This record gives sequence, C-alpha cells and structure tokens, in this order.
Amino acid sequence: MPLFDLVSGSIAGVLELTLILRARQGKCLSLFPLFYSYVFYLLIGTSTTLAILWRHPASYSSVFWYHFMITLVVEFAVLVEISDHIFNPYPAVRHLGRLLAICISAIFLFYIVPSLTGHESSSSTILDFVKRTAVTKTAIIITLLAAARYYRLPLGKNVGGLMIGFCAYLAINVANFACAEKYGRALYGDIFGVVGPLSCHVALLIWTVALWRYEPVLRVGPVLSEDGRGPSASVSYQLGQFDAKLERVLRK
Amino acid sequence: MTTILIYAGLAILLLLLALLLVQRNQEDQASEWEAMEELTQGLWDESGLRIAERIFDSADFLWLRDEVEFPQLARALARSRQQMALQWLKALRCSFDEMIRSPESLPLEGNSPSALPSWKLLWLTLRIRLLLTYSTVIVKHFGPYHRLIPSLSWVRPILEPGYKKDRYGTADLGNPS
Repeated sequence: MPLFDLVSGSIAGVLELTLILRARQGKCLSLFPLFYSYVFYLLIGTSTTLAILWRHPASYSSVFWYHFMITLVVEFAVLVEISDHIFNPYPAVRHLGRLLAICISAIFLFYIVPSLTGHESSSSTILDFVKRTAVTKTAIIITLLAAARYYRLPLGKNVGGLMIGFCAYLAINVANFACAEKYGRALYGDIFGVVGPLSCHVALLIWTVALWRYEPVLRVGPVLSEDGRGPSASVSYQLGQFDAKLERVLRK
Repeated sequence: MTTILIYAGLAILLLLLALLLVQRNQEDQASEWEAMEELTQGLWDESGLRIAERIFDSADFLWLRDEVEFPQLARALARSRQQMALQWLKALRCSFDEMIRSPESLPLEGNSPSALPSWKLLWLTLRIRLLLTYSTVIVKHFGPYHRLIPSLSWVRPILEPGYKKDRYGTADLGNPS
C-alpha cells in the first residue's frame, strides 16, 4: 500500500512539524528536551522512510523496522522525563518516578526477555518483543499516574496529555501486535499496516492538542520556606522531625 | 483467539484506567485542602503530642482492668481509644501528605550542605508512609495498645535473665481477658 504509506507518513510528518514549531514559538523546547528530541527523531525517521519509499521501495520495510526499534528504547527515556515533570518540584518524592520506572522495568525484564527466544521466525520475535515492551511502558505510565493520584500531585494539561497520548499509542500497539503475531502477515498484514500508523497519528494529535500552549501547573499547598536552609534542607529537616515525633508516640 | 482477546481487553483496560486517573487527578486538587488544614491543626504542638502519647499508653486501661477491676469499662475505654488512635493516625497521614505536597519555592539547585540527598529523602518518605500504613492496620485489628513499632526488646530477657519489665506490658483488644 504505497499510497496509504505516503498519505499516512505525510500526516505524521505534518503533526510532528506542528508540535516542534509550536514548542519553538512558545519557547518550551527546553522544558521537555527528551520528548522533543524524540519527536524530532520521529520527524527525521518519517521523512527518511518516505524518501526511501519514493526512491527504493524494496528497502522501505527494513529501514522502517530499524527506525521503529530505536524508538522503542528512546520511549523509555521520554517516560523518565515525564515522571521527572510530575515529581521533581516536590523534594520529598523527587526520585519516586525514576524509582518506579526502574523497578517496573526490572520486573518486566523477566516478561520481555523470553520474547527474544523461542520463536520460529524473526518476525514473530519482533512482534512479540514490541508487544511486551508496549505492555511494560503502559504499566509504567499507569503506575506513575497512580502514584501521582495517591499523593494528590497535580499533573497539568501538558503532562496529562503527554501520558494519555503515550498510553493510547501503546495500548493500540499492544492489541495490534498481538493480532499480527497470532494471524500472521497473510491474514492480518493489511490491517496491521493501517492500525500501526493510526496509533501514531492518535498519539501525535493528542500531544499537539495538549502541548499547544505551555500551561504551568498550579501547585496547591504551602510553598516551602527557605528559612536559611534551602528548600531541600527544609524538607529533610521536616521529615526528620516527623520521623522522630512519630517514633516518640508509637514506640512503646 | 483467547490470547488476542486478553491483549485487546488489556489494552482497553489500561487506556480507560489512564484516562480515569488523569481525570480524577485534575478534579480533586483544592477541594480537600481546607478540610485537611482543619484536621491537622495543633497536631505537632507539645500538648497535641502529649494527648497522642496518652491515647497509645495502656496504663489507664490496665489500671481500670487490673487495679479497679472493671474489665467491661476497660474494654469500653480501649474501644474509644482505638477510634481516637485511628483519627489521630488519619490526621497524621494528612499532615504528612501536606508536607510531601509542599513544592519548592526556588528552581532546582544542588543540595545545600545540611540537606539530605534526594534518594535518602525518598527513602525516609517511604519509610514513614509504610510505618503509618502499618500502624493503622495494627490499631484497626489489634487496638491502640498493641506494640506498633516492632522492636527487639524481647531479646533483653534472654540475654539478661534478671531483667524485669518496668511497664505493665501490652494488651490485646481482641483478648482483654
């Protein structure tokens, strides 16, 4: 389906370009450096694969898959950046997002690694691997959202949109890759070729809407006083006090 | 077919869960704030701490049960103290959450000399959170006079045979005899 690939690639390219240009206009490229690097990489990848589709259609498939496999790894870094945006302003739980992301990745390693062995064809291996990494990333997003909800930390429109966009993209990928693995190229190949790019468009559209304007999060609560110690020291002092008083009452 | 249904269901479930979590997060921002402030007022004053210590102290209960010999009254006292202890732990949790949600007034900077490293702060935060949850479970199921923080004091009688407890010991609400 070269025409579909061309149209789909063009839509993705336009959305990616819009995202980057809007961020540049709003001077918020530096606020989400990894995310915009990822979008920039997607833009370069889209234009390169489109050019290859135009000039060397035979190599399109292998180039696309190389490009796609790199994005799988980059997306983990983007998730860590998003988690930093949620937790960084709060000294007491500053590294909670990173800790959760690392723990879930480590646990899910036992789920991802078996996908690399035990398959007859390399295409099944790739499909299973992508499916499992998508499940892992979705689990990270859900856990981060649950942790933010647990501590009642505000997300804001930008970060909320980023997470929903990612989640939509990954959720569609999970179902799509599971179907592709089960039915194979002959039965599911055409649908797979449509649903895959569609998931990317959905995510890009959500990101474009969510990041159209930078909206800083309105943080409810007392701002930490600096009282000569600096904000981090103030929290560590308060936590120490809390710990000591709690032990005084509860230890009998 | 079953595998596909499982993965399709999982995808829909995860997406719905994410949407729900984002929506709930944005809804409940300032609503509980004022109620929490009221609940946590005076919690860390010296008088507040003394009341808390009294709530968790089994001396009154044991005096009523063993010296005055009113076991029914002692049980009623233990039950009311249990409710007070749960209220106190709830207020403590609110106060702790309030502190965690305190954002920095300055942009991120290197740790100042007296500040703990961020990972240590996180560890302390998680430790206190775990302790609070554990204490709530213990008070709910065993009452306020059960030992809340596990200690190794039971080692002392073994190591020092002449050691005697200077307290009445702990009481179990479930079995007040």
